[in-house]
Amino acid sequence: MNHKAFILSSVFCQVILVSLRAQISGDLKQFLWQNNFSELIENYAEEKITLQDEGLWQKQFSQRSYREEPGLRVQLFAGAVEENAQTAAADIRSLSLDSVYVLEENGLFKVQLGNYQERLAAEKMLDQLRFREITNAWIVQTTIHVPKDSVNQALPAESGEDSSEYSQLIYTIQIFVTRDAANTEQVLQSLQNRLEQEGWVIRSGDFWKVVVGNFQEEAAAREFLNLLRSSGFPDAWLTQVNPSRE
Amino acid sequence: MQIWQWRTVLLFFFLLFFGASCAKRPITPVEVLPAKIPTIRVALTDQLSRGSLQFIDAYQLRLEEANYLLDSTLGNFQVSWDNGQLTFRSDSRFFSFEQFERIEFTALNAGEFNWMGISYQGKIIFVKNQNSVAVINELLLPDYLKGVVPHEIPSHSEEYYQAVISQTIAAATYAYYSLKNPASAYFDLYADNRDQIYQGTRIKTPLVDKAVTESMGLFLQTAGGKPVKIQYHSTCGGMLDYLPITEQSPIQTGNIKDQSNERVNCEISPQYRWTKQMTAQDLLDNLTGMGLVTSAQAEQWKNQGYSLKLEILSRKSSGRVEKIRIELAEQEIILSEWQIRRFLADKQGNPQFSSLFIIKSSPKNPDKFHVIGAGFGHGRGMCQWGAIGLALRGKPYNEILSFYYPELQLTKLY
Repeated sequence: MNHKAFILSSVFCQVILVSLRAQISGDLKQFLWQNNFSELIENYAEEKITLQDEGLWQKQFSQRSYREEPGLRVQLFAGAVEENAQTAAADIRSLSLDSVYVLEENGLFKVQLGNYQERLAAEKMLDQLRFREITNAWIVQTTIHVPKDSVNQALPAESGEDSSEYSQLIYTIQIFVTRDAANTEQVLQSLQNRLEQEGWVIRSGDFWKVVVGNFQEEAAAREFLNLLRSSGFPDAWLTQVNPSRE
Repeated sequence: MQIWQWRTVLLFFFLLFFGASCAKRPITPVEVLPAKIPTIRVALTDQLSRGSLQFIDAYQLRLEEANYLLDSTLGNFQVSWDNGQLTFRSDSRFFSFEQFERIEFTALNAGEFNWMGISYQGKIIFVKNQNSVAVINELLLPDYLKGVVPHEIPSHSEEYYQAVISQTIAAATYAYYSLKNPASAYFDLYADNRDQIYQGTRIKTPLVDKAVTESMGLFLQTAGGKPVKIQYHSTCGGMLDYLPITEQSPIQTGNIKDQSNERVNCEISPQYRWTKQMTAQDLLDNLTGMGLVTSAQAEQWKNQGYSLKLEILSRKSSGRVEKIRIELAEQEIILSEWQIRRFLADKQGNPQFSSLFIIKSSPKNPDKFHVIGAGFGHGRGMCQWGAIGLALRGKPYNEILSFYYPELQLTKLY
C-alpha cells in the first residue's frame, strides 16, 4: 500500500468506525467522492459480519434505575386472594409512606413496603405503621431494590471512574445497627462468646454498625452469613464496605 | 367516319391510357409504423373498488338511450364497483351499470378530467374484466410522455435540456414497446412503478413539454428495427451494471465506467454516495415485513436476544451485491437482487437506494452496522444523473443516448 493509500485508509477507518453518521459530511464525503467504488469494495468491504442483539429484557434490566440485593421490607399482608392484596396495597399507598409492592410467591400474594438495607430503618417504618394503628405488619428479609448509584453499585470497568475505590470493597456481614455507640459493645461481646469472631464497629452518619468478616468473594461471605443466622443473629445481612474509609 | 378512322381513334386512346399507366411513379416509403401520432392506454388501476371522478372540461357519455354531456357543473362523481354494479353518483347525476363491457367518457375537445385528485387528458374508460373493473386513460403518446418524464428527471433547469430530451426519448421507447406488447387486452401499460410512473397533467413542466415537441416521433430501436423494452435508472454511482442480452432487451451497456473526461458523469447526483446506520432489529423487522420470519418468532428474538450473521455471497462485476446469506438462529435465508434492497430498507420501508454497497461492523455497538453505498436504482441502461452530467458538459441528446445505449439507433417513426 502506497503512502497516499495508507493515509486514505486511515481517514476512512477513523471516520467510518468512530463517527459515521446518516448524513455524509466533511472528510468522509470527500473520501467517498474521490474514490472509485470498486476500490472501496476491494479495500474496505467486510463481506461477513455478525450482529448481536442482547434483547429487550436484558436492555430493560440494564436500564433499570435500581439493582437487586438482599435486604429488608415491611410486610403488611399475605393471602391467597389477589384482590385482597391489591386492596391492602391501595390502602397503604394512600398513606404515601414508601414504595409499595404486591408480589406473588408460590400462590401467595404479599404486600410489602419499602427497601431497607438497615434493620433500624425498617423498624422505624414499623413504628410509623403502629402509630397509624397498623399493628399486623412485620419485617421480612427479601430481595430489595437499591438505587444503582448507591455505594455498592457498578463494576469499575463499567463505571470507568474511581475504579481504585471499587476494587477495595470487601464483603462483610452486618449484624447490628444503633444510634448509641455504647450499645455496640454488648453485640461485639456476644459475637465473641457465640462464634469466637472479632467484629468491628463502623460509623455511618448518625448510626453505628457492627460488622463481622472480611471476604473478597461474595460466595464465601454468603456462607458465613448463613452461619451467623443459624447462630443467634437471624437479622444479619450481607453488605459491602470500604475498610480504608471506615 | 371510316372504320379505319374509328380504329385510329381507339388506338390513340388505348396508347394514351397505356402510356399513362406506365409512367414512373414516386417511391412510396415503407411505412411499417403508423404515420399518425399513436394513442396509448394507461391503466390508472386494474382493480377498481372506490374512486372519485370530476370532469374539468366537457365530456360525453354515449349510451343506447341517450347521449349525456358532462362537465364541471355536475360536481364530483363518487364511483364504486360493488357486487357486479358500477355506479357514478354526484349531487345531480346518477348512473348505474350492471351489464356492460366498457363505459367510455370522451372529451368533446382537448379535455381534462380529474381522477382521484389527479388531472388527466384524454378519455377515461371503465372496462370490465371478469370480476374486476380497470380504469384506463387513453390519450396521445406525447401527452402521456408529458405526465411521465417530469417524474423521471429534474426538469427545472434549461441547462438539463439535452438530458431531458434523452429521457423523453427513452420513455417514449419504453411506451412504444408497450404499444407493441401490451400488458393486457384492455390496456398497454400501468401508471405505477410496474411500468413508468404516470401522473397526468399534475407534474407537467415547460421544459418537458418543449422536449416532447422537439423529439416527436423519435424512438430507439435495434439495428433490425425492433422495439425495445428499454431500461434506465437514477444514478449508477460511477459503475453501470451488466444487462443480459435478451429478445426483449438487446442492449449491453454493462461493466463500463460512467465516465467522461476522467470525471464521473453522475457525481452531481444526491445519491452518488450515501451512508446509513442500521441495527439488527431493523433487519429483523424487514425480514418480518418480507414474510421470511413470523411476527411471533421475531417478537421472541427481540425479547430474548439473538445473533444475526450477514454474509455477502457474490457481487456482479459492477460491484453490485448479487446474493447475501443471512443466518438467524438456526435459520438460513438467501436473498438476491431486489430482495436485498428490501431487506436493507429504512424504517419507513423504503428499499435501499441500490445494491452497490459495502457493510462495516460497529465495534462499539455489536447490534449496529454501517452501510456505505453508491447510486440509486439498478444501474442498467441510461443513468439519468449521468445524462444530466453529460448535458452540463455540452453533449447533445443523440450523443448521450449513444453513450448509454451504444447498440441502439435513433429512428424517426412519425
